Amino acid sequence: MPPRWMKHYYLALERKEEIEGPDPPLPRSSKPNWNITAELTAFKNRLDIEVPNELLVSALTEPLFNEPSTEDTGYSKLLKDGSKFVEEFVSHYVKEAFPFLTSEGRSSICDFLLLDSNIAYLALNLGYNDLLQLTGLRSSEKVLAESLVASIEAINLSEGPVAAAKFILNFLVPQLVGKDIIDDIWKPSNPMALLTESFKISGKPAPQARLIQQCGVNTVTPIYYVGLFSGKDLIAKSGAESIVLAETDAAKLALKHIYHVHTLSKSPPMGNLLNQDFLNKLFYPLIDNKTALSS
Amino acid sequence: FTGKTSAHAFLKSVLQNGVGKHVKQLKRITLNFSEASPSSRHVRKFVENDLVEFARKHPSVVVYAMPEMEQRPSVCVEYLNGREEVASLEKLEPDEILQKLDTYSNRSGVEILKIVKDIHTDHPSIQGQWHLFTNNTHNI
Repeated sequence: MPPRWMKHYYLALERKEEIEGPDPPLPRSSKPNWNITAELTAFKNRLDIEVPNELLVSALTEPLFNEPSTEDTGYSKLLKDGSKFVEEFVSHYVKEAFPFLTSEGRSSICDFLLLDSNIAYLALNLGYNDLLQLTGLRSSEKVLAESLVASIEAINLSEGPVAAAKFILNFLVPQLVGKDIIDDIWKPSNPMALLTESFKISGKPAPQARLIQQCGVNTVTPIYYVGLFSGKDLIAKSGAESIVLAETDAAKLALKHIYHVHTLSKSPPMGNLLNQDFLNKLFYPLIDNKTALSS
Repeated sequence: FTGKTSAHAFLKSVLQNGVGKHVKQLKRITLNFSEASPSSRHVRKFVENDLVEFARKHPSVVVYAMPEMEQRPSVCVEYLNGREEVASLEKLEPDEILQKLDTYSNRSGVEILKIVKDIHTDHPSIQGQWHLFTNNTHNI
């Protein structure tokens, strides 16, 4: 309870906050219990990386102005090289991990993984925000995403491309867990056309939608069951409140089985599921000395 | 829903932790205690004898010891998801303090709530769940 004579001061403070909004949060480093050397060491131990402190700090410092491009280890240079490396490796991984998917589907997975909000969420939960030095001129989400990419390039410079790739495999790729490739990530607008195309390539008769069952057509909760047939074979069936929705749903179900991205099909290799053969295939383009891999 | 719904949540892991590399979610421990007062004597003993070993055991945790005059002993832990917890260390022996810190270091940082179960099976019934078209064979 504040003293009686301070009442008007506190009321004025409240009024000020109402008008101007709350103050921006203070950086963690402004508190007395902050030792940057200890924090950086713990950060590196946490992520299992070995990067010189100066390089890591430059990856975590948002520049006020664009630096001259001649500098080798500046933020802009790290970011530029890092985003190229991350994009290349992620698209290579997706190509190896989803061999049955079309290129359109693959690029949608890459886009999802490289989304700013996704990478920023990752950086936030890996403790980047405490060490980040912001200018306050841009949104912190954008800078968080950039600094994670820049730090991957810092790992690439100090430990080599394989360590940087392992970092991506450890932290970025598991973001796919619990996501349905077709329903959550790709969201194809016309799955029936995709299905027709894939059947054309494999030489099967074109899929045909037929109404199998219907119930309660004249009520507010009608249900239609649509089956997709290729010749005389039933490929997939699905029910929904309208015929078009049921057909789209059934086509999506059929696509999931064709692309091997169904919830019940084998999950993409990550974590414990990564075997040495797959890793060799992944790291092959990254290694200069190709004989070192086989030994 | 009844009127007596308490705070609850599904069991979840932070950031799919452990699918790739496992990351310890505790990032910072701050021990606040007094330099001279008798209530902080166990914390001082802990800082002298066990703190270095604890810090060595957990290299990804930053440990701060903040002595200040006439301050009650407490610990502040910070997790990677941004949550902070403060707990009193009064009347705790050094081994109890170590046990407390170990508990904090093993936690994910998510608030402790009543856990509701998220049970799932692909085959809820051998016969199959009844629906509108159970006993109707489809006609083409």
